[in-house]
Amino acid sequence: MSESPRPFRYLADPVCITSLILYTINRYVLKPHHIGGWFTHGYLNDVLCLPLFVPMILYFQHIIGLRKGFEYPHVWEILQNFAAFTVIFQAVIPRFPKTFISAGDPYDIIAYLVGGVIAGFYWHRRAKHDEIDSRI
Amino acid sequence: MFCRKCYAKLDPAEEFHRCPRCERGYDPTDRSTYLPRPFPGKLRIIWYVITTSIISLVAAYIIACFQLAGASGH
Repeated sequence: MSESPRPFRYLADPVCITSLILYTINRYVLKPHHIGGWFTHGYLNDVLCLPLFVPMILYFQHIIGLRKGFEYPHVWEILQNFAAFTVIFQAVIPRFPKTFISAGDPYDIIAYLVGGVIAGFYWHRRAKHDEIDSRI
Repeated sequence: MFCRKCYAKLDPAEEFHRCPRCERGYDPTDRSTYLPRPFPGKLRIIWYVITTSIISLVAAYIIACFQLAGASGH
């Protein structure tokens, strides 16, 4: 299998960097100044969750040798992380309200999914594009 | 016949029974030392799914703890 000329770059992936920038803007500009209303206050971080953390988690798997190569995240990897975040944030954390400040909101699940679909679509497009480039 | 480690094609006709890519040894008469298809075995898939799931769950928990510290602004 030939290596892609522009493989998935994990933490340097544009999706990850863009998500980090959006998260920082949301954290330090939008939320404190109440810009954007309910979406930025309640759901933007959840939408950014998978695009931001999937590359980080896959990078960790890569450095410990579990994930070989530089392939773009597969659908099942995005779904696996979607399931993990849903279980922890919507099933485990709400059971400990005295310890954690998060309340289980079913719409968060949709927000995770939207973020995962957008990122997954981009990664899929990039992978296809790189595959075509490598054939030329 | 394929290498269990790197899935490279193996040639049992060669003198030394070693993978040409990763040099892992194999025995053509022992089916447990090679793969019939260039695809991970069941146990390896199960191990991979369990390990990566644990990593994802731990990562989500660490993020939740970060949120507990009130630093994330979630």
